[in-house]
Amino acid sequence: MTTTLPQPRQFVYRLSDNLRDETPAFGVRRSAPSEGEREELLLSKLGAKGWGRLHHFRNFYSAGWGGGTGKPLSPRALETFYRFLESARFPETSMPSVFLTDEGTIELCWEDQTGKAVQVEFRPSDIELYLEADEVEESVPASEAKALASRLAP
Amino acid sequence: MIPSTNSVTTSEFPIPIPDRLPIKIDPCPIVEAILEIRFVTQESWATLPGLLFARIRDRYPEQKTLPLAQIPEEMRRREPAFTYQPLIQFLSRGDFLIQFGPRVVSLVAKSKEYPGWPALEDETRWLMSQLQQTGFVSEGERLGVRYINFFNFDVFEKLQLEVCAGEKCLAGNELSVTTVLTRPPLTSRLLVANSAILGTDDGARHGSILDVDVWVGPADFDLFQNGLAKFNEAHEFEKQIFFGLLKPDFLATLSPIYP
Amino acid sequence: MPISPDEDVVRAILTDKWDGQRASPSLFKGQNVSVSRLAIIPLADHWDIFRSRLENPPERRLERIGEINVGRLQEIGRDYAHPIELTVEPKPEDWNRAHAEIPQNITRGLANKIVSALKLHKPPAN
Repeated sequence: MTTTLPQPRQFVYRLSDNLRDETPAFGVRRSAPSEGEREELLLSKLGAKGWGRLHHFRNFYSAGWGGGTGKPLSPRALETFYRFLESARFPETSMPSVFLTDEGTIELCWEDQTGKAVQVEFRPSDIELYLEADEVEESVPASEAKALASRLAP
Repeated sequence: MIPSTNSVTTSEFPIPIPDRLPIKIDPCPIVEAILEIRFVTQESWATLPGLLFARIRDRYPEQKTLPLAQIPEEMRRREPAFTYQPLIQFLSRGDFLIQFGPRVVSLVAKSKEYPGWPALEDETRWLMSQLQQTGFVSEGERLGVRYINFFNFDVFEKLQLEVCAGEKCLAGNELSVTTVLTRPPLTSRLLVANSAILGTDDGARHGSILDVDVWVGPADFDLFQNGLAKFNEAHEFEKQIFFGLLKPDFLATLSPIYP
Repeated sequence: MPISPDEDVVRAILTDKWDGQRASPSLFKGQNVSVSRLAIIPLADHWDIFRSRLENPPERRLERIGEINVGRLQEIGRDYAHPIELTVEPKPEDWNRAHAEIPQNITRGLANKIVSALKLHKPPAN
């Protein structure tokens, strides 16, 4: 026996019986626009672990997590993160780690080809960068996400 | 598939956009118009309705809890389909109602006669001002305009839109077409179906639906800086899609009034 | 009154800051970073204290506890390219009487050095 949750909202219309699919298809659902491409992007660049972590950050870290002080994931930070990831290339020996900061921003960490830390934090309006090799700490505007990805590519 | 007359068709955008867009047609097929704001907040849901109601109670004195609110928050949190659903409605005696959830607030034009975009825009401007004063919106996530149109006949016969398998077109069949159209930074989901049931106070009606939802993502708007302008852009795009789909001879039967 | 360099302090590392391979530098970045004093509450008791306050299973779990000696922390601060004198100030809370804070602003580069120096403790086997 299976149960499904009730329809999330009352729409002003519904499709007729023949057009409406009411059979629960647990393995398949319609995707939001671009969602499929972004899922592929996450999997290819960050692996299953990174994809899963981001899924959790998006869906389960709502307002007031972490003892009440954690901020929810910033939609703008997430958008900047995706734009960076589209152009990013990482060393073959270093799959990046993805973290959620208490401020609701996304942090991506990996090592360069010399084993030194590279850390990028995606914030709503800018991106903070740290390069251990040069002890460089700087910020760039969010609009330069793709350019930054090219700069950091091995 | 999509012939163009008196219109501008770019090679990228598949729907011919008319040179002129009417400001009114008769009969008006709009059965629902929704302006929606998705947001993130640091506040818990328990506090939000009170914060908003304190600001809007003079215009929206009644509250109605929606069925989804009965589901425990822990269960709602785990189901992505519920993330942007409203849990409560605020009702007025006028043309609009407000729907509100942990991550969404929307203004719905609910009257039997569509009040027109200027009225919708005015009410949206007021609502956004109240929202800003509550202070609970940390960041806007999505800003959307959705128009649902109903026709009591097979609307595919009146549209510059065909679905074909090989050389045979699926005319006369029960048909539902959904597609995503983009013109950055705007994204639109278009749904056209010729077999839908419209639930109304007068009972159910069977006919066709033309449902256009247009939105911008978080990087492309700042809610309290340019949100209203973005709503206008989305509305304009929605109109372009709607009127671009109508066959010109069908549009002529709707007594269009131009600015 | 800052605590003695002889003391050891710990910081909770939950799922959002640990992915099985790396710990997030944001653990120590910023101002008023929270730590907890092992001189007040032993490590073994910290697991339950942190879990009851910070966990939200199944998604957010206490993955590790990171430990560092205060003197070592201060040495890292002094040796950093932009030297800074770090202190740890007691700030007991209702939920944790061993709670303390590092009031100075720690940059990302410095935080990276601190996190690299942490001794990581795994949850005790039940």
